[in-house]
Amino acid sequence: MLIAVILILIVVALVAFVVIQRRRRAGGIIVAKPKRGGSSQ
Amino acid sequence: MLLTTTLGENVVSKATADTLGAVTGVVVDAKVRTIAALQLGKGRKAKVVGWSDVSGVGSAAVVVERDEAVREPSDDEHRYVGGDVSVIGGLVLSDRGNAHGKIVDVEYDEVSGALVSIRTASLTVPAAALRSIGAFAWVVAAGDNEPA
Amino acid sequence: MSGLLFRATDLNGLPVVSIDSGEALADVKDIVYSAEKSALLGFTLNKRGFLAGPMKNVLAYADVAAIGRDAVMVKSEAAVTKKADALVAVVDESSARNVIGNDVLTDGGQRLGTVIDVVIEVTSGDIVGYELTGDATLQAHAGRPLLIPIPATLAVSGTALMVPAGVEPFIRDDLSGFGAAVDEFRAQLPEGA
Repeated sequence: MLIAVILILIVVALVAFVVIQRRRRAGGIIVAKPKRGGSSQ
Repeated sequence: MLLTTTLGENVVSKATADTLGAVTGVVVDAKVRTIAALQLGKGRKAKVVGWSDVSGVGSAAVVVERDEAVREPSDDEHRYVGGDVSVIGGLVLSDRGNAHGKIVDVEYDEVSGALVSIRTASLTVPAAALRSIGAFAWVVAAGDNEPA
Repeated sequence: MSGLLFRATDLNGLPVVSIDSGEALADVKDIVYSAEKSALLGFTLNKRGFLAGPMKNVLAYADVAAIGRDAVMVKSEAAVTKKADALVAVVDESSARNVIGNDVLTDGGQRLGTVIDVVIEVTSGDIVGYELTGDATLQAHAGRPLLIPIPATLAVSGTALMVPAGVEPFIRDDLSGFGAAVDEFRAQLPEGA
């Protein structure tokens, strides 16, 4: 019983790690904040 | 000579006529675009023969000067012997960031060991265009027909 | 206009490869650009490998040798190890400003669609426009990707892309006709704009 619980916890932790790591790796297209506030033109 | 012809050939000692093993790969010196050594065997037991100890490469066998020419790979050679860097199967990447597929064969001069050309399924790149060899790719100078 | 147009999202995940060593040094994480300068500033990086995390180092566009279909090429490893403080500062204050998914709004308050990509001329590092999915009301091509040249945009924030009302004639639905649309639009701008 205890072993089953521990195994499940390990699996959950592994899945969580993979999901979090995939998210940390996910990229985007970032636009720099304009140096002066307000309009960029 | 094509590398795929040489791969699998027996390595025979000139001094004793003993077969010392079979060619399983090559170590390339990217700076001078030359085969630096031949690999015998695979895995932990892999050995190498320096090109200077090779007396002849023919269509039947590779002949080396003497049995003792077969030695342990150095650290540099181990990148090839250990499989970090691929020769056949290595990715050809232009210095403009476009991949040209995987190496299917390498043509080389059987006397000097100098590379002549690198061949993929679709393209033959002269060895003079080779800029570096790494675990990720063989980087070659972009051809004229490649977009800027 | 000449050169090689790429979609910015095509660069996400490309390996960064050293010309000197043939080694892959990192993977591209974010593409960072300036809307003011309409220029690519550089990239944030991930370590290589399926489960490897982000890298602290960034890659400034000035240190990029070439951008191709399959890799971002740099001269040597120094390109990703040296300090690029200016770019790090930009990333620190702008990392949440992802333009993908931004609403495209006219200055008249109309919504035209959603930003799905940014178009880059990779040999110069110029940002030349935005790709969007148009709302059904926009035009006959609703549902197909549309392109707006960057001179036809006013500002972008990470939540919205602001464009002037009346921008529709300069919107194109294919990349090949896009260069001409950019030139056409520039020709309409007042001198010195």
